[in-house]
Amino acid sequence: MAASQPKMRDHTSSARALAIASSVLAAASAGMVFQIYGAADGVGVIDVLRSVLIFLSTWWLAWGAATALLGLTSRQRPAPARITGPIIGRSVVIVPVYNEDPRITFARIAAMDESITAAKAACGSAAQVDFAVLSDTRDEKIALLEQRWFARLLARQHAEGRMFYRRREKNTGRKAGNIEDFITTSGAAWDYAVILDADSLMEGDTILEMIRRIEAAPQLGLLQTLPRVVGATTRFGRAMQFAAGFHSPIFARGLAVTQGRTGPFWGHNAIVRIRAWAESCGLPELPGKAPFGGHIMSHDYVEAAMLARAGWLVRLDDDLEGSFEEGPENIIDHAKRDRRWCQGNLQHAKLVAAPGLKSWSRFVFIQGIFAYVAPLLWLAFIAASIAAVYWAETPDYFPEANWPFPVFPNDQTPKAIGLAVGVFGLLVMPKLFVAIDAIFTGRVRGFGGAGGAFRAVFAELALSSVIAPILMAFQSRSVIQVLLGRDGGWPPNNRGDGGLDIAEAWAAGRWISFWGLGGMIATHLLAPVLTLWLLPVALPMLLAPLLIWWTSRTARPRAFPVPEDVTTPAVILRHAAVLSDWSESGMEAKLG
Amino acid sequence: MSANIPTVARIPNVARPARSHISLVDVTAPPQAALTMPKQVLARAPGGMLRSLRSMFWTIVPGRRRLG
Repeated sequence: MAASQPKMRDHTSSARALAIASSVLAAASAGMVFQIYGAADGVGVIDVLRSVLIFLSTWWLAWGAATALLGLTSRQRPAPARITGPIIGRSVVIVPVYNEDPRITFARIAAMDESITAAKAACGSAAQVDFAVLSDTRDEKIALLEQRWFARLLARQHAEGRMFYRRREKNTGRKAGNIEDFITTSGAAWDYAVILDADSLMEGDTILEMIRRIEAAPQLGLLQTLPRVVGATTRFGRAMQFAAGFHSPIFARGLAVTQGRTGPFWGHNAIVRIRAWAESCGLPELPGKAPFGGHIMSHDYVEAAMLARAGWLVRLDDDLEGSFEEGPENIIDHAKRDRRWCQGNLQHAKLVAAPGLKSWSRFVFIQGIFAYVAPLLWLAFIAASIAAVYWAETPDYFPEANWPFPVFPNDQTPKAIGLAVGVFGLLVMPKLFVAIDAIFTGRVRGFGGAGGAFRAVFAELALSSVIAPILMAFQSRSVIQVLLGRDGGWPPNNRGDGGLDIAEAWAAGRWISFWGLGGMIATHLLAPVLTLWLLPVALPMLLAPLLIWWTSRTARPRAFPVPEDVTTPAVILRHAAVLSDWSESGMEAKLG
Repeated sequence: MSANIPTVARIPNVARPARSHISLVDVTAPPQAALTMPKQVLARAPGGMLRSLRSMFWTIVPGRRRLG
């Protein structure tokens, strides 16, 4: 392992240099083109401001594109030689829950337990893999259900002594505090912990392979898998599920290449070395009040940074399959989750200069902050452009006193169109390249073949372009709320069918419609020449409630195909079987 | 492995009493096997921001080593 480190470091350094150089070059080109365009009638402060805004916004898009290109040009991390020896270490799969439906969550545990048992039987392993449900549930009725369903789980799996349940009376530190409480109370009983979310599912084979890999690499502190989104049924959910399955592996590989030994860690579907975690990941409370002070919300990035700071390797193995999670089914649930992530990422501003962190960990914090600030930069650019047109001086067609012919200003329209096409290209090209790559690698087979995959890629592009202004509005509101000091709290995740009625969509999206309408009226009055340019942003905003409602409707069965539609993974089938076995007869009714 | 990493306190890993706030379903509670998890220092030292940004800049700027 030691011998491979310099090579890995060199590869990481070159990848970082390439990504930074190409993204800065693209951003600088955009900024310069815009400066030339804006300077046609003389350079003003607002032109410089717009050039800076276009530089920063384009850099963020170009950074995403560079990450995708790195992912496309890097190989999947080669699986280490098959480790066949017995597993020595003791492992625990930890499932933090917070007001979740215990029937569905515990059925997942039963499915994974059966899958692990089958995997152990197949390879003759006697590995110890226990489960611990760490409840932070606040709702007493759900807590009572948790205990009843856990008793049923124990009986079904004959798991007394290897499946555990405990509930905290105070959910100090939220999920990170929940895990910390478990580690400090019981952590020494195991060597490795597979950290899951309540909606995670992993194949037994995958869990055993993760244990083997972390056991074989003494420097490895954390091993992250790339979970695939499953179970989506709505138009929005299916589109996100397709994007996560089709595009994300490439983007994630690019991300892993640049992060090198420092990550990434996404908070779940990963295995950690418990001793490394205990000695490195004790999260302090940040000074001051929420949203910037208090408990660290986006703890996963920080934990990865702290493990790397302590010298542990944090690695993404994107060749590991059989790792699943669920995603939000509608724009409102997506926005709720994003509000939490936004606050967590902006809170990282306090951690960028934490002592001893690897420099790239600091850069990852900055990237996370930028992800939420970028929409505000685009909004600022739009506002500055309207102001620039409003304040622009009328061209002087007869600058020479005794010259009878008019002098027309240089037409800069081609530059403006070229810039817009370039910016749009940065958004679209990576996804098209991923699609072309998928044809050559044969990956399209799982996504409806070449035709099906391309149809889905274009449909996802169209859908994501249409809803982008709505997501931008939600993100901008989140950032402003955090900057105004409003704490978003810790709302539980909705894991229902995701369907919304029009009244719910109107309640959640009407403020976006008003802003869209206001923006259109203001543009028409102040800078009518920009009205058409603003339509792609303002129109979806105007129609926000309708789009929120429409995207939450159930999708056609074959829309946005993913491999799991054709071959349902075994652990998902097991989960469905357990759920069918545990029909809802009784337990909820008895509580009433 | 973790040299030079600031922590608030380093306490040897010894068993300690069960957390009093865990009161429900003792039968199924995980085993008591305590592990210390010292709180890490994440607050920046005075002047730390500038140093961090400088160090980050030199890490991400290509060719640092070659330029000496």
